[in-house]
Amino acid sequence: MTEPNSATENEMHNMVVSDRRGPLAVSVAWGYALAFILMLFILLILLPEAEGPSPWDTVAFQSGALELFANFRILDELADLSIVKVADVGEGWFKVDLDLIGVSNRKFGWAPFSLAILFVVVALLLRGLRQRFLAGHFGIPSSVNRQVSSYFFGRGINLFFPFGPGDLATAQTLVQNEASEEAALNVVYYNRVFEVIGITAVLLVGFIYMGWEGAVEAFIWSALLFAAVVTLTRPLGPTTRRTGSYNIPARVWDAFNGRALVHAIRGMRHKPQLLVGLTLLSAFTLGIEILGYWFIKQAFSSPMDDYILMKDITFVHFAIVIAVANIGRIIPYTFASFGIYEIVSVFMFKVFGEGYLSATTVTILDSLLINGLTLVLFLLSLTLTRYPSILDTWRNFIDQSATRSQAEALQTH
Amino acid sequence: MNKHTDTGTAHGPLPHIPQPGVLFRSFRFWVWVCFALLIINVIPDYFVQYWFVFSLGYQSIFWTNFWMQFALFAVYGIAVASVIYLPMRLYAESRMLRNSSVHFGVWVGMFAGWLLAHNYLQYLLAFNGVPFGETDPVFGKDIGFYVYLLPTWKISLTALEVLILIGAVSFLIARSNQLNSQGILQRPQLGIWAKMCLFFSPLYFRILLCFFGAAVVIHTYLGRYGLLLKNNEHSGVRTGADYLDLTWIFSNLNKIYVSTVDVAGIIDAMAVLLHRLNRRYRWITISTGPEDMPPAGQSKQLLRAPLLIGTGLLVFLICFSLCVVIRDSLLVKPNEPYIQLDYIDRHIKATNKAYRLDNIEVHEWNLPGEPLAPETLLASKTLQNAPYVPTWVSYLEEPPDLHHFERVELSESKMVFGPMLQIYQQQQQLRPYYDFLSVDGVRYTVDGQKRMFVSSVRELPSLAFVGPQEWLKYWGSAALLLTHGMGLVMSPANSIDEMGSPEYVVKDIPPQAAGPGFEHEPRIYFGEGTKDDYVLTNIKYMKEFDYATAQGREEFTFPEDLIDGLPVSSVLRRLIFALHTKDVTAFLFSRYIDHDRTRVHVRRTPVTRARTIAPFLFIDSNVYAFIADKKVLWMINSLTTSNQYPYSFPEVLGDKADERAVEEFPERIINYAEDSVKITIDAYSGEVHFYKIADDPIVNTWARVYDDLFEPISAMPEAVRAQLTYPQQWLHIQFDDIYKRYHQKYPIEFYNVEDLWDDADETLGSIGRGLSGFGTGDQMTFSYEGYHILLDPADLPEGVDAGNSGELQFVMLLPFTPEGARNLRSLIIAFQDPDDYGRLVSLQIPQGVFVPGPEQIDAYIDNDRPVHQQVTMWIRHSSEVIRGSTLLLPIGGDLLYLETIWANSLQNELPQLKLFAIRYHDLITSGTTLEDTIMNRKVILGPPTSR
Repeated sequence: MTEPNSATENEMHNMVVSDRRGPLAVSVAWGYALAFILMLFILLILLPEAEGPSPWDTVAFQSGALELFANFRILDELADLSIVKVADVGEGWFKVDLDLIGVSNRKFGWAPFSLAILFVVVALLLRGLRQRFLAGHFGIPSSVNRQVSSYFFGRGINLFFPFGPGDLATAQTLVQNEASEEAALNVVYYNRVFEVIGITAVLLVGFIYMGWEGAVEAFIWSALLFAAVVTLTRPLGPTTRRTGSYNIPARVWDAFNGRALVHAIRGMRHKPQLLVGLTLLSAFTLGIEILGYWFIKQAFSSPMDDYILMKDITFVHFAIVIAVANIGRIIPYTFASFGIYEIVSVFMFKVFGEGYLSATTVTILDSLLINGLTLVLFLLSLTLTRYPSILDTWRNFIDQSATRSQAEALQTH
Repeated sequence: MNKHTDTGTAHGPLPHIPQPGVLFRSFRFWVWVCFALLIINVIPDYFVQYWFVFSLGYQSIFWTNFWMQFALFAVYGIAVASVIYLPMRLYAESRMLRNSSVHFGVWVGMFAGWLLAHNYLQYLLAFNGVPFGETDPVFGKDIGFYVYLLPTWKISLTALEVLILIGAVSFLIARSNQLNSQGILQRPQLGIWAKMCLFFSPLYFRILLCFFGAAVVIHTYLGRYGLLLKNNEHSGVRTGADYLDLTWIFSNLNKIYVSTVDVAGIIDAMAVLLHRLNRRYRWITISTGPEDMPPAGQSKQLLRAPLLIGTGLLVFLICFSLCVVIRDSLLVKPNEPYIQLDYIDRHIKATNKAYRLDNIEVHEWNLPGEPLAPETLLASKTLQNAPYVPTWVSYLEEPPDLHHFERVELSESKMVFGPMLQIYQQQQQLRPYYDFLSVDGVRYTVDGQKRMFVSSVRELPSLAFVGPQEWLKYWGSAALLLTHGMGLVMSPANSIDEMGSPEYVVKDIPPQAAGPGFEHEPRIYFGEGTKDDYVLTNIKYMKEFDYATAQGREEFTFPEDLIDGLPVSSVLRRLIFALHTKDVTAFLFSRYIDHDRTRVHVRRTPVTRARTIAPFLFIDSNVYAFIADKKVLWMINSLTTSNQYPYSFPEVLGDKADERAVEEFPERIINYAEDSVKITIDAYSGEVHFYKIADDPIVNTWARVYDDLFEPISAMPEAVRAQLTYPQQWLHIQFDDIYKRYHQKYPIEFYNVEDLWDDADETLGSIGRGLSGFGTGDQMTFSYEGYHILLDPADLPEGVDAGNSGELQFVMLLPFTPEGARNLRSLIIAFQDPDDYGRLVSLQIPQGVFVPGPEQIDAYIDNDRPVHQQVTMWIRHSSEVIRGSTLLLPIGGDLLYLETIWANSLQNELPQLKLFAIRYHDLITSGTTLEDTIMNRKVILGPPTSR
């Protein structure tokens, strides 16, 4: 956002930035492509594998897809519309397992569904509120409404674009409210830091509750997925750093920007009440969100009989899965962390013994719930407050990235 | 905001879009990690697979499969990797692109090779195909061409096309990078044609185009053979080429030829166009400035000829297709079905031949007008041996609609199956770790008399089935101690005790046999319930648990001279088993494992063993056990199949019963099959035998591929031959799917579907659990599946020669009604004894004669006063009433229906046979024994009138 000094500089700057945009377009395309590749991997490979020996066994694929439809309670509708036929084999399109139609036809739990919406909305609002507290801490004068609205504006933009332009957008809106750039960026960054702290707190409680024996395997897998998400979504260390080819922990530390993280936490040492309060608020927020996901699972289970999605999973295991999967949300590599959140969640459910099918079902339900509600709150924030256009924000973000890319290139040379 | 790397500031780095190279590095790292994990996961399985087939003496099968898979994987993998890498090497200027193409090439190559290697069985067929010795009626090619070669050609061509497309994508990326780097694409003075020409001018691309063209042309041409498998339901030729496809100029066959010429022409035109453009614009690559541009008109001239040819060909194809459509509407459709009769005839004959229905014996069945006397009925050996104790758990086809499904749920009863499993579980399970998983019908000759028995194996199933006994799930118990089941139990199918419970010829632990013919080795290491499970034998420090004695326990050690089991003879093997079974700590650190003696037994279900060795066979889900030469053997019926038989109608072959089996039984779409292989597995030693029982081209091909696999039928022991059964699903697809329509041999009759049959239905299972919820008004009907009886040839109608009177034949029956009606239309008999094995007879009631069908008989029995009173009384007293199967029994050329009714206490579920009901010549009688029931006819009717 800092402007070049003179017209010539401005022109040169534009040319350089323009040169850098081409490769960035490849990165953006990759951001979108990866999301779809990961989702296709879940839907086309993991899901049919649950049913048959070969991922490309057509019967297994059909069966997996139909079972997913049944879990979402839309198979019955498809059968009613004759899109899938419950006729004799060979006469209709598919051989449909009647059990699946039965599952699809059972009562839907409106009460848990309402609770799920309520809890997730509360969790989202609490995050906005956290931003308000942080803004206060950094001396940015603003009302609760404005802060919450600014938070959802940024979060909403991240629904559509990869690499997190929403963070920059939130910072911009704070700057519009007469905050300094540094303070605005700090607010956004600290909000993410507390998200990490919340996740860490929930994971710690979960592992302690599970005890040494039960937690070892889960911890190893959590750590591996954690590392995978972080290194995949952030490059393996800044390009200018030389941490050694095989020093993975150092690279993960760099990738997660550990130094800045520690710096951020140290920065709040002089206000321990705020630190503790926000830590508790973050853990509570994540807890509430997990409860919302738990209820959406219950809503799509049958309240009548034994058809329950993930019947045997305990709430603690469930919470650990969601906490680890939320790492993907902190670092928006794809739009709305689409694909990354899902694959981490599915694998984590698998670690706790759930089948790919139920894991995929619950994960997709969770994603639909939180992204749907985020979208609603984003639209609300757009109607309530005047913000720059989404496309302008995106263009700004690209310019910013191109400038940075140029700076990095110069630094390397 | 700052335009610098902000790593050091309090707020950390700004969100930004990273450079693609940076993204690729992290992505590359994790892809390699995934590949490494995948390989770590796969390699132990390969080792275990090799050791497994080696232990059974089938290592040549492993190597045959391995080399074919490896060849496909390597050839295609290398080809794909090359077409990705080569253009990058030739054209790309970016070092990052060139480097990353190595990684991408390897990834995509491995993935593509792995996909193609999945088709190794088809390639093995193609290289070894045994001709059918019969030709198709259109092109005169041997059927083997369609079954072996055509699918292989299609797979190969598709693979080639995909290869070229991948190569083209790689070329596009590399070339655009090259031209971009040279700044040629940015030159404003170059028009789009010049840029396109430059882009596609390299010889490499033209070679790709030529190969692609050749592949597509061949693919299109091969489409003509697809006409013989085409769905032509609308014309009455349900599968295969019809009148419009083959005759006159404007036929679909000629349309394929036109398409082939068109594709070839268009590809040629494109090649010519590229060549011309290349010649015209070659100067650009040489010159460096805004030189003399060719006049725009010249470009158009260059394009004119190829475009004209291409457009002309397309227009010709469209016109030709339109002519075919018009001909169909004006000249073909108005003259159907007459014009199609020859083709319908081909279709009927091919379908009957492919499903082995061309030699079925058809007999008209005119039932006698006068009934037999009760004493004569009782003297019938068929009736005496009637299997009223059900020999099945569930031969039921899946309920046909949601309505039925809801009723099954509403009934809250598991008893839609035959009740014998529940009875055995109640009376003979005896110890908490044993279980029975299915019951089977078998026959033995006892004292010179052939008799039918119900038998079930007392297995020690996988932990998933053990239930709430948590202590049995410890590794030491599950893998080291409780290694085997204990014997089988067996009851005559035609007798019960006074309590209505089955009698036993083999029972208890250790098994007590009623005669020497029933004595057997009782240890069951291999059974239907041992899915995903393994055990270790010959361990250190302790022996296996054998069985519980009066107040103690017996121990056992698996004999070292038996062939089964994979030695754990080194640390490396421990590691491989640890990775394979996922029980890492147990295998790596257990002190029980003795490197000199300990063996691991894997793949312990009969189906898994058979399928691991011969995955190409279709396995019938009704796996059954019997005693032969004092061994317990599992028998698996298996079929060789194809879905490429010209003119034959495709159907789905597979198990449609609900919860019948613990294994997955994948379905297959087929239009040709043969009951060709019988597989036996020794429940004690795990020894496997594959017996080839039919002279079928496909099984002969497999015998050529794997020359060690099959043994001839003559090598099958007599005791095993005596237990042959006809495959359930084969009978189902032959009759319930095909013959019900294809028995109409005359094309015009077939076209009009004048005599379509339906498998008969019967009321079966629970009809009430007390007075709450599900009541007698909610009975469920299910379709028949084949059921076994012992049939006296003397009881068949006149004209059906099935052997001498009194020499009982073990047959499978399946009744049919007309579609949309409930009277009886036909009774199918499949002979199963060795001398007549596979003989099929259809007894057909004349079309205009009413003989009540099973559902109607069930209604008569429902309304019979004594039966109704009894059933109502049981339900009022909180018992569950279960209707047994309604048996159709040919007696003295006549037909008798027999149904059993079982009562089951809801307090302690133990079904008992409490009532027999028969329907014979318009009279229902019931009683507590079969004899009483028959003799009650006398009470009602008085002395017999005739015969």
